[in-house]
Amino acid sequence: MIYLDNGATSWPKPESVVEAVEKALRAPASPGRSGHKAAHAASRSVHRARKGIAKIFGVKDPERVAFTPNVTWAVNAALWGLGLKEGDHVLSGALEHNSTARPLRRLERGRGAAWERVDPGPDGILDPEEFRRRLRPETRLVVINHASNVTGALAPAREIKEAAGEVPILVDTAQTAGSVPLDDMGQWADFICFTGHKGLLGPTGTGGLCVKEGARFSPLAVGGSGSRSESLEHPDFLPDALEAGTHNTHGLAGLAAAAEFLLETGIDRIREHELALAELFMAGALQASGLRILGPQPGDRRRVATVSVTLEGYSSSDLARILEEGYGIMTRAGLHCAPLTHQACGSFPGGSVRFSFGYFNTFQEAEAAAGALREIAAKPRAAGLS
Amino acid sequence: MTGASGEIILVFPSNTRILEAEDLLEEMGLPFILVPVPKEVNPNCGLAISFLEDDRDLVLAPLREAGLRPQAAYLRKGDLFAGYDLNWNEASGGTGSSDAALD
Ligand SMILES: Cc1ncc(COP(=O)(O)O)c(C=O)c1O
Repeated sequence: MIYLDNGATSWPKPESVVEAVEKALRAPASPGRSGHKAAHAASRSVHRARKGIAKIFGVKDPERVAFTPNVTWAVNAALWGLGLKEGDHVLSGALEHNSTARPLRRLERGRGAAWERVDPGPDGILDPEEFRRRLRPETRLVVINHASNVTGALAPAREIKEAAGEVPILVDTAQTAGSVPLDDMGQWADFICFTGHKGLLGPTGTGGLCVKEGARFSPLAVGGSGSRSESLEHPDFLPDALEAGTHNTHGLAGLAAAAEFLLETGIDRIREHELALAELFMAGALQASGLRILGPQPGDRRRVATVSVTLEGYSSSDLARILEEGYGIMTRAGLHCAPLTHQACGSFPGGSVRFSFGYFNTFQEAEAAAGALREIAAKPRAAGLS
Repeated sequence: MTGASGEIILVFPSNTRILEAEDLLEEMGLPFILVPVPKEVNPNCGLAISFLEDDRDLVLAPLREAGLRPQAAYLRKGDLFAGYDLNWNEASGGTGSSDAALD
């Protein structure tokens, strides 16, 4: 089996992550709730995850990292917490995943906030100048998917923030965290949303939100926090304000180990390996006749190792099925929860087949995937499958 | 720990703060232990940092430096608790700046 669906969730996980989760599952765990040693060990484990994540994003103060079940929840916490309403304007890229697009759509329909999308250029990349031009006095937020989960295109998020000036920016790092060095992001991004189970190499059910100083918003959910138990008011300090209910202690133990793995390995090294895999794959795949790569083309470093292709004569679902049944290659077909992106790329509604490489993939696997595409393209297409 | 010199107990505003304080003091090899927040004087759940009054300057200096300000401090002698004035210097910087960010 060749696993090329790291954009959906990374596999395998480092052995240290598996061990950390197992160890946590074998221990009593209620972080921050009781005074005994076991509870404290659980708290420390959550705190290790907080420190690791803070380091990865260059967030000086680990208190400003709040954990949520995934990036979707983090995005919702920020978007709803900001209290956007009629008269407010939100700018986003057109390469958004549904995890930001649907909450924005709901804000638009339910609260009357205006949502405007900026299309990428012909190279598949967003232009910061376009954001500058579309800013309005009532623009309250800029939302950016840091790398497209369809085309792999990297957004120039920092330049977009510079163009946006005082307007806060929310960055969805689902496809970049752990795969692209982000250790300056804490200095300029107002809301960094992340998910633990993709490039961060942690377990599912982990994610969160790094909040820059000065951001004001109200929590989506309130409840037990282990702090200020005497009060019926939910704490207003971070991270407790955004962490109602018992943490995913088991998952976060894994995320702590994953963050340590990434920092020890070096995210710059991971990036180079993943990019090299993508380049090798693209070069080989483009030799297949009728094959098109969406978004940034070979040689363009403004991407992550997620590559979407279409092959003439094949629907995305058929192609993915042939890849799996004939070659044992796991990809993802369709729209990838990103109809807007496919619209922007002219691949809607048919979608594409996405090959997403991870740190543990090998050059042989990238070659094999490209070779499979060449072979499929060269075969005369019979009616139906196989 | 409750000898003649007395025990100082620091309660922090959040669990994360106490973990930060613990990491810091541990890194510096300073003499302290974690104890449950004494319910006699404080309703918070969780843990507090405890050390001998004699070690007060040693332990407080790095916390001050890092801006890790306790929410409350107590002096314990046997079963008796009294509020304890830390003379915290407001001008101290560092981390722990996580003010009320939320409405
Ligand atoms: C760009 C992007 N944003 C958000 C998500 C949602 O992640 P999660 O399901 O972990 O919340 C994904 C992946 O599914 C993604 O690729």
